[in-house]
Amino acid sequence: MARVVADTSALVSLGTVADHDPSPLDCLYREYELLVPRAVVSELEDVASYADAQGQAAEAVLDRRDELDVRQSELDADFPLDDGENAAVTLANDTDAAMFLCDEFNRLGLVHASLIDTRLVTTPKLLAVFVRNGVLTETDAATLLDGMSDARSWANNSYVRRARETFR
Amino acid sequence: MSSDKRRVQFRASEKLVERADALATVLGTDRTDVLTDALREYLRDAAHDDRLTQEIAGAYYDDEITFEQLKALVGPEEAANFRVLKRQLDDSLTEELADL
Repeated sequence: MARVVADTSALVSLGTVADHDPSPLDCLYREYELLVPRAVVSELEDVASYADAQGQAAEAVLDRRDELDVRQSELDADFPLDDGENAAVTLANDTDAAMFLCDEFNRLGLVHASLIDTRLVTTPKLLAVFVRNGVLTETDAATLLDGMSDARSWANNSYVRRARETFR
Repeated sequence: MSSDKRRVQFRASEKLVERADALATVLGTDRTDVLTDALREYLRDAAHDDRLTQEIAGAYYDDEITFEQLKALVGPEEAANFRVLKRQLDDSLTEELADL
């Protein structure tokens, strides 16, 4: 089972559609060994304190905290990233994770440059991988991406629009 | 940035040219200065206009502009983000990730 490290942004995205059947969080936990640094759990707790869609999404992820493999991770002062991203990138590098899930579209260049062998994956791409592996239907992936886009205000994002076009 | 100047021709409405000339008179400069200043300012603002930036990114994803052109329009950091996102749109990456 491939090892995956997730950043706060990706877990919040998936959490926004946690109520959907099938739930993308279920798929993630079932298909991969998911690791998160303690700093990401702290960030999720901060986000969950807000009463908006993203707060509810973070809450949905934290409701299943027992299923998360939470690891302590040192921060690498060389990375110009915030604490959660920094800890997650460090954890991915230290554990030689296969994938790093991150939806911080405005910082992906820096995140990508900080990863050693781990492949950077956004949640729209993760949905495409689930479709490719028969874990989700294209219809499910389209519904999930639409839900995530609404909650994340991605409607005008050119990348997300093109990713959406790949699901019929 | 090269300081070489290129001569370009374009058509604009009579009114727009008259207004540019009037402003040039006020500022004690010429039409070329007014137009190049305006263009420079417009291009700088475009890099910070989210809607326009997304248009630019879209053109890059669709191979209508090169990475070098993208970098000139939005700056190196934003261009690096869009390069990662373009790779995310690649079907071969889906195949690669699906086999992990």
